Amino acid sequence: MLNRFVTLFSLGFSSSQITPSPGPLPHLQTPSGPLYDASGMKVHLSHPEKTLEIQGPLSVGSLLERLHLTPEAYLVIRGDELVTEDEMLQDSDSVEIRSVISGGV
Amino acid sequence: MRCRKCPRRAVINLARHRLALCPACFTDFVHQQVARAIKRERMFGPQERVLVAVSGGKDSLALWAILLKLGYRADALYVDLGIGEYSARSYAKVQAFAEQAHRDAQARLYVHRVPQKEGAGIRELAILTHRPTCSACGTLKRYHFNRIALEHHYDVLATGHNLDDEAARLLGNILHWQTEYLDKQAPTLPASVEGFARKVKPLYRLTEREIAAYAVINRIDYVVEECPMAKGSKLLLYKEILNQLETAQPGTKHRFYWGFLEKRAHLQGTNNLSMAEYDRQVLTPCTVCGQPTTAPICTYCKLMDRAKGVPVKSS
Ligand code: SF4
Ligand SMILES: [Zn+2]
Ligand SMILES: [Zn+2]
Repeated sequence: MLNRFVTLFSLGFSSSQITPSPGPLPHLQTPSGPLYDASGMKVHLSHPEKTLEIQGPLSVGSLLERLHLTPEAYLVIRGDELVTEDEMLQDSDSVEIRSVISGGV
Repeated sequence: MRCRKCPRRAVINLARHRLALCPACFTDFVHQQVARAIKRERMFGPQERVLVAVSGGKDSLALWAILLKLGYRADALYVDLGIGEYSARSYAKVQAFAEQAHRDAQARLYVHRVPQKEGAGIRELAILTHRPTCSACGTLKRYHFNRIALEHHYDVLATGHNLDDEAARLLGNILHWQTEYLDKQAPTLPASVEGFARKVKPLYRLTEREIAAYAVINRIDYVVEECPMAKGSKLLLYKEILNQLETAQPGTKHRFYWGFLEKRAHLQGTNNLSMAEYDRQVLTPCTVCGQPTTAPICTYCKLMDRAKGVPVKSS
């Protein structure tokens, strides 16, 4: 429980985080580190447009967890098919993480 | 993960219903939820004419698609707000969908172009009139929605508001104790005055994620990017927080909003003045355009007069 709130607040509800998109993901901006691998799967995020290479195999659920994304706010699409959290993603997969949140006013 | 209803592979897991579904069973599930919403909240009957407000986003296009699938007589209105490339891309999606809807179901699309008719895009109009863009936008959209419905004799106006929209709005209203707005949060709002269409939200039982999944599965091509004016909106903050809660406790959003609707129904039973009766008491036709308003001149006419620099006078 505490853990969830730590995640909630470590994301920080600053104005940059409250965008309809996955946000700038500051922790992913360095082109090195454990999340990056030149031979990994291509993960595409929209708004802002961004493509990451992530080492597989890993499940959809762990992918979202590693990127600190709330599952309820995203769909994961492999090729052109939706996939559930338990599905395993491989290095050869092309993956889109699409934000589903919208709305002004 | 396997589909709970058939032997196929599941593509979505609905934690709030403990239900994993394949594309075909999920599509059925969405249709059932919308059919249930329409029936339960007495939204409209099979012979009534429905006007859907479409923006090019997932909710409104999915709503139009679902109503046509369910066999309703649904046309749509698109208001071009003149927000540069964003409006151009949204319109392209709406137009492509409308052509298909026309071929399949003889559905019709109306387009109102703000830059041409009001003389400037919504951002410029908002600056001219010293109003926040989204508030000026709301006034304009409501006005033209009502106007087209009246001119073309539609019985019902339908918008793509979903469970997340309504739960986030409810949270905002409660946090600020804006109880005067709570009445307007029902999924069906009766016609305020004679000749005006009732307003309905047939997607109130579905989350944003479910609607986006419906669009992906049924190949509805929508504009994924957000209106640039939505950035930093309070509603997005409330949605984000509700989604954190939903992940920790599946079902939070629907328990919150549906629970409110149930309590509200009980309260209304004890209230001697219904919302429709109250509206009829306070609303009169605008002296300029005739749309119902609580003031002598409606917000739209005031906004347009201010934009043109003309002093507002009632006749
Ligand atoms: S975000 Fe604001 S300006 Fe953009 S469509 Fe919504 S209400 Fe209008
Ligand atoms: Zn199935
Ligand atoms: Zn008026």
